[in-house]
This record gives sequence, structure tokens and C-alpha cells, in this order.
Amino acid sequence: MPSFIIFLIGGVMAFSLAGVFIIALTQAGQPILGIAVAGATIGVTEEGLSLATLVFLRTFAGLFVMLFFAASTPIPHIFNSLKSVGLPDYIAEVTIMIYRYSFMMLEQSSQMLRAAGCRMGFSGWRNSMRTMGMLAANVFIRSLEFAERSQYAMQSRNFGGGFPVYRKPAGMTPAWGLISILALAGVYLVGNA
Amino acid sequence: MAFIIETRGLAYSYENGEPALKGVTLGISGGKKTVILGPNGSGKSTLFLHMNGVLRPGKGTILFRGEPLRYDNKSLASLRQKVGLVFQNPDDQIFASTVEEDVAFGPINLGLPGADVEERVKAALDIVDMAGFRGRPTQQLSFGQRKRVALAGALAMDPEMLLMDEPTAGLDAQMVREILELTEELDYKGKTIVISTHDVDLAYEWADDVILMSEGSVLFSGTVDGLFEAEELLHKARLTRPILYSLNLQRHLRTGHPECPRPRTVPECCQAFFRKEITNEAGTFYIACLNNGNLDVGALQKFRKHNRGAYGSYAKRVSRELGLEIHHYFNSIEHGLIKTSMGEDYLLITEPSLAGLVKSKVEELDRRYSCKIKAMIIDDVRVSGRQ
Repeated sequence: MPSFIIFLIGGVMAFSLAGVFIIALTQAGQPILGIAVAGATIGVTEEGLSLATLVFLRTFAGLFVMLFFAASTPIPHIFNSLKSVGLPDYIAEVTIMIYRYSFMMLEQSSQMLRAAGCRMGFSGWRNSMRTMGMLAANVFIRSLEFAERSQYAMQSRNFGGGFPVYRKPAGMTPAWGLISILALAGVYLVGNA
Repeated sequence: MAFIIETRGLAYSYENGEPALKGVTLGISGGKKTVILGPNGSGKSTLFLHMNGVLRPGKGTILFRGEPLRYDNKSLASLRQKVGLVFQNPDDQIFASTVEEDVAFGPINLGLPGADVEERVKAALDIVDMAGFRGRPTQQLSFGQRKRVALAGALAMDPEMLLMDEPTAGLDAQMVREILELTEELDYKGKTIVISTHDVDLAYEWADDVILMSEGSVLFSGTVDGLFEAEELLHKARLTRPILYSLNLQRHLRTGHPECPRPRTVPECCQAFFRKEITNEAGTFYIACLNNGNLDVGALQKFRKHNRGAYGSYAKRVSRELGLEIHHYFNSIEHGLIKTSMGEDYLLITEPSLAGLVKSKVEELDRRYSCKIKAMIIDDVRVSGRQ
């Protein structure tokens, strides 16, 4: 899991690096470095460089915080919290279920892919297309049956609509508020030093 | 005889029009171990879904404790609290992201306060020996572990009656034994257990009552012996006779020994088959009760290594935690009966509430085969000698 997150951050940052490069080259201002290409001068300016750095760091910080949050908070917790700020129950429940069952369908389809591969399902372009088509149809039908069985199972345990959370996430304490304010103040002070 | 749950003329068809149940009339007695035996596709799972109120019958009625089922939310909630259902495929049942969340799902839906939920989750996980996996994501568990979590999910509802759909399918041999011992433990503690299976050997050894189903109808309902005597019914239901039954029949045909009482376990077979060969005087079956986990290890050493066993989920867990030198963690009663019948002494560690069950099993064998095995309950394993 950590390596996957680093991979994700790396991937997005590589993309943002390309954008940052363009920003650095296209800002007007005090030139630092210039290359003459076919009569025109492409140069890096001081303003361009500082804007590029700012964009790069902001992208990284935003991405890091978001992925860290996504990786450390279970989806049911997020949606149960969103319910308390007014998200309708049914949206929260449907989302939690889709999230849960998409993983199961993913696992099932990867097994079916492997099984199809064992029987030469992917030899040649035509065959591959045909196999993928059959697979997609099959996964769809199976998901319907799966949904029905799961519904039976939930009913048999008195499912009344709503996914209760057994182990509630730790609540907000004054210490956390204090730490957040201190961190913000620190960033502000460092930025203006 | 009082039936805890009863169906009358139950008929049901799925959407494709294929009838799954065709007029099923049966009754399940409280406090007994019942097997619903039948080949794949005979309607066992559909029947279970009806008994739990998930499916409504097309025709016919279901009675729980003499009252017809009602399908309003409140009645259903109270029915499902009393009748627990464990699905064949644990993946259909488990949907929470962690083990404890899934086990807590039922109790929270019952609207229990937090402390009670915690108590039930703990008890249910303890009994299936999954307490060490509480926080684990469910998708990381093995099939056997998921099967246990699914069982714990049903047990956490604390039902009077537990319906288990193919509980042993896809499990390794030791897990099958563990599940069967667990059901015996639950049965002894007062729950009515119903298992659906197509395993005739399991049904023969485990069940008090058996109901044979085939193609959506009940072919037979009664005692285990009665079923296997009716061979044409077995053929009709695509089943065979259990191995122990056939062996005993051959013994009867070849030696002229009476066929009944039929041995249903290996120790009983030994008694029935090797009567002449057993010359030693029978040993003593010591049943040691664990109280609060106090145990004198010195007492264990008085028994030979292969003559020690643990029975019941609590005793097994405590013995593992204490690192006791226990040889038999499953099938221990059977092993003990065989050892003692050969003249050795056997020590079985169990919890106080199960001591009576073990003792009754020893006495049952003694009664049927007069093999003179003495059963002795030791209150605590604190035998003097060690500090």
C-alpha cells in the first residue's frame, strides 16, 4: 500500500512537472537564462521560476494531503461523517455499497480474465475482443445475482437501511484544534519571514 | 413432539418460473441436531431463506413456535433475532471492511447499546477462535477464516436456532471437525442446530434427525437409521450409504452379528467390530474442567503425550494460550474413547459447562457396548505438587 501511494504521487507529480516547466518558460519578466531559437529567444525569467516553484509545491502538498486522507480513512467513515453535514442517507449507503462490491467484482473479473487466458482466450486481436465482450456481459449478469444473494444475507441480519459504524473514529479534541492552529500559524510565520 | 419451526405445504418458484420448492411439509424439533440432506439443487438453501423470513412462500405457511410467520418489519426483526442463518458462501454474507465491523452488524441492527454489542462481538469471535483477527480487513482472510467470521456474524445475534447452509463445504478436514465440534457445543448449550449438506457420512455421524430433500420435495423425515435403511430413497436422491453403515452391514451379513445398534463413530465401530480383541480392562476417562484458566501443568505430565486432549472452544483457546502440551485439539472425545477402551487413561481438558456433555458421551458408549470405561470429572486441574 505505501509503495502504491508513492507510485501515485510520483505519477501525478511527473505530470505536474511538465506543466510547471511550461509555466517557467512562458512568464514575462527579468530574464535569467535565454536560448535563441530561430530568431526568437526562449528564456527563463525570475518571475516564471518563482511561480513554477509555487505551483509545484502547492500541487505536491495538495496531492499528499488528499492521498494521505484517502489512504487512512475507511470509506464508510467518510460517508457517515458526510451524513452529519447533510448528505442524504441513501446516497451515503449506495456509495458505501458500490465501493464495497466493486472490489469483489474486480476480484471476480480478474479471476475470469485469468481463466479465459488459460483457455487461449487472448490469442490474437479478434479472440481478445470476443473474450472481453463475453467477460463484460458475464460480470454484469453475475453482479446482479451477487447483489440478490447479498441482499438476502443482509436481510437475514436485520438490515434496516443504513450502515452503522461499530468502531467510531476518534473524535475531535481540543489538542487537535490547538495543533492545527499552531501549524497554520507556523506556516504563516515562515512564509512571511 | 414440539416443533420449533414447521412448514406446511410450502411452495416457491424463482422468477424464471422454475419451481424450487414443491409443497414442503416438515418440522424441526427444538434442541436437536437436524440435517437437511439432499443433492445440489434440491431446494435446501431456498428452504432456509424461507425459515429466516427472507423469501415469502408462494403457497403454504411457516410456523415458528406454532405461530405463522408475519412479514411486517417488527415481526421479521424478532424472527431473525431468534433464527440465525449462515450462508454457504461467506463472501455473500460478509460485507463490512473489517472483521469486528461485520460481526457487529447484526447486534447494532438490533439496536443494542454499545457495551452489549462489544460483549457479543467478543463472545462470538472467541467461540469461533477469531479473536486475534478483530481488526483485520475481511478480504485478507482465508476461505476458512471467512467462513468462521460468517458464523460469528450469525452467533452475535444470539439466536435460539441456527441454520447453517453447507457449513463444511470447501473446508479442510480439520476445519470440518472443528465446525462439527462447535455445533455440538452450541447444541449442548441449548441452541437448535440445522445443517444442510449432501455429505452422508457427516449426516450419519452427527445428526439426531434427518430430512431428505430432492427436487424441491421432502422424501423422508425421521431418524438417521430409518433413512439409510430405505435404500431406494437414497438412489432417488442421488446419495449413497455412509461408509460406516455399509461396513456394519457387511459385518452383519458375513459374521451373523446383529446389525443393531449401529455404530456411528469410530470408537463405536471399535467396540462393535473388535470385541474379542479387546482384552485389557478399560482405563479411566478424566474430564478436567478449566476454571478461570487455572491449570497445574504437572497434572498433565502424568498422562502420556498422546493421551491428552482439549474439547470446546474455550478449553482449546486457553490451552493454546498457555502453550500446554495437548496432543488432540480436535476429535478428542473419539481419541479418548479409543485410548480408554484399550486400557489407557486419558485426560480431556474442557470447560465446566461442557463436562456433562463429555461425560454423557462416555456413558453412552458404555451403555451401548458395556465397555466399562469410567468417566471422572475433576473439578479443577489443580492437582497438588507444583507451586
